[in-house]
Amino acid sequence: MRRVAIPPRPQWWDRVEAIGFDFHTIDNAPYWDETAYWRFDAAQIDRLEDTAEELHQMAMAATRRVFAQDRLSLLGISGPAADLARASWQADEAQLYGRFDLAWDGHAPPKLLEYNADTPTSLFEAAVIQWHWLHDIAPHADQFNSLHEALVERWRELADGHPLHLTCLTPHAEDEGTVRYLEATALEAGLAAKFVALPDIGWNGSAFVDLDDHPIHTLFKLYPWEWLACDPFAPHIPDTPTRWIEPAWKLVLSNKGLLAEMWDMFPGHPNLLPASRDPGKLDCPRKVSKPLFSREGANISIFDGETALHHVPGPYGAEGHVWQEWCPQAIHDGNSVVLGAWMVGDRCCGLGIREDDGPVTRDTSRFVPHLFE
Amino acid sequence: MRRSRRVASLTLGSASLLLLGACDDDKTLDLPPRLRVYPDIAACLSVGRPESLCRTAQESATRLHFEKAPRQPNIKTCETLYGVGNCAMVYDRDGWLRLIPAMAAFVPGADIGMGSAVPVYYDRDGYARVTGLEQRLGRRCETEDGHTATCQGSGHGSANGFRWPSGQPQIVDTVAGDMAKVTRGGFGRASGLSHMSYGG
Repeated sequence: MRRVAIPPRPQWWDRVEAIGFDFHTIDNAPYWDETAYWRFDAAQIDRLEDTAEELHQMAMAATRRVFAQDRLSLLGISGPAADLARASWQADEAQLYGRFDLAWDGHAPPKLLEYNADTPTSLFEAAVIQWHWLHDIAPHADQFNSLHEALVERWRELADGHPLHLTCLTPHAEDEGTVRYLEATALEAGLAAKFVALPDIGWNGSAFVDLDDHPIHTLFKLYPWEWLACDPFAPHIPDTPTRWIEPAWKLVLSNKGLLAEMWDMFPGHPNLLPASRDPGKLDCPRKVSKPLFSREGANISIFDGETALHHVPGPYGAEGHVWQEWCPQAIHDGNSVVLGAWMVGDRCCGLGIREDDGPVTRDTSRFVPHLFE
Repeated sequence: MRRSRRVASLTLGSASLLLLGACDDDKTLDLPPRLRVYPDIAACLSVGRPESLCRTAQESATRLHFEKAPRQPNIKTCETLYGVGNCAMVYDRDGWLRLIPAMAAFVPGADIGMGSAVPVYYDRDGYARVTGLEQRLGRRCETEDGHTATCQGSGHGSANGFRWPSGQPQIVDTVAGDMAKVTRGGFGRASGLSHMSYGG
């Protein structure tokens, strides 16, 4: 695993825009960064794949325990959100995808930073944009990337021939780009797919409907469950046959509090960092505090003893925090490097790498392509 | 082998956006309580309207319908939504064969305060819908000769498999439409952060 600096493709922005990537630059700073790539060998890719799939099994085991022992309140999940989560877990509702964020130096065991299992983005970049990049730059090299086929296959299993609706808030280039890509994979799976903006979803007294008043049978949403559960239409959710993807039990699988649950169930596991709801239980000088529902790195703080070294502002944290040992493996030459291992169903089928000048990966962190040989 | 093989030809853009299909100016329809809709040009001519208007309206409505009609993946799903015998096939630009509700009639734009003609189809409950609009236009009335209509009594002969005489206008009772029954805006409120991302 090493970082290789290369000249970007001439007119690279034209190349990526031609395949539908319209958010390569965020606030005048590059988000897609092809001035370098990360190079792995095949054994390292095998290791990442095995690690992510094992972590998924552990996260699912921890989720099972949370429901079996009714530990939802420890994760800040209560009221209607808890009811929705329990009902969807009991109904065994199927999941589509997720992304593990891992810290790694290529040698020591990769460490789990967190599991983005409810609203992961950077999917289109990982599945399509870096694939085209590989084709242009190193067509004989390989890439950990069977995301596209895996998603198409997964849609066939999930939707069972029913029409699929997809939703997110608009306008938002990045989220809409992710949803548009998922819509394309669903269409390729032979489903009828249709986008409806979240505020345009209607309630007709017995069903959620789209703008044509068609009932919504299956709905993919790129919008956090903890927010959905507080929306005015939330009380209708249990009364309708609409199937939600991701399902509501992902409130648990995506919850940062699950890091402490996993450490409690699998203490000392080589791919886990010590984590606890109680910072006093972590025997290390540097710790990271994460809100239970944080996204995009918001509200994450890094402490050295009692001193805050770094803090990312944001709106999260009211529901509580989890503490995790700080992981030096994520730092490469002064950059934070996070390896996003993509899960579709319970299989790991792709890798997307994000870099940031600061110590916390955020929504603006640069996406850097990878290859392996 | 991990390489992705099929993704290389994939592009996103207009093909998938086609399926979004909704007119932006759909809330300004100026509807009479009894609206004449025409299954064909002959029906349009039968009430004395100019041939050029009828022909242009029929052509532009047909074009709009094929572009904007809601897509279904197979005949079963389509007939469940629109009734047995009420579906048509269409090849989309992405090469997929899909099913759409058959266009039942057209309405010249001037009749409803629109700039151009619109296509009408019927759902399985017998409600007339304008392709691309969000709400139901109204219920079909029983007609004797294309002019005398009986609009009372919901559910009259308007379920699956209904057939129309050609060459005669159909009458739609727009008072029976449900322009106001669907509420929207109940999702996406909780955050108040409508332009924030949360992808992680």
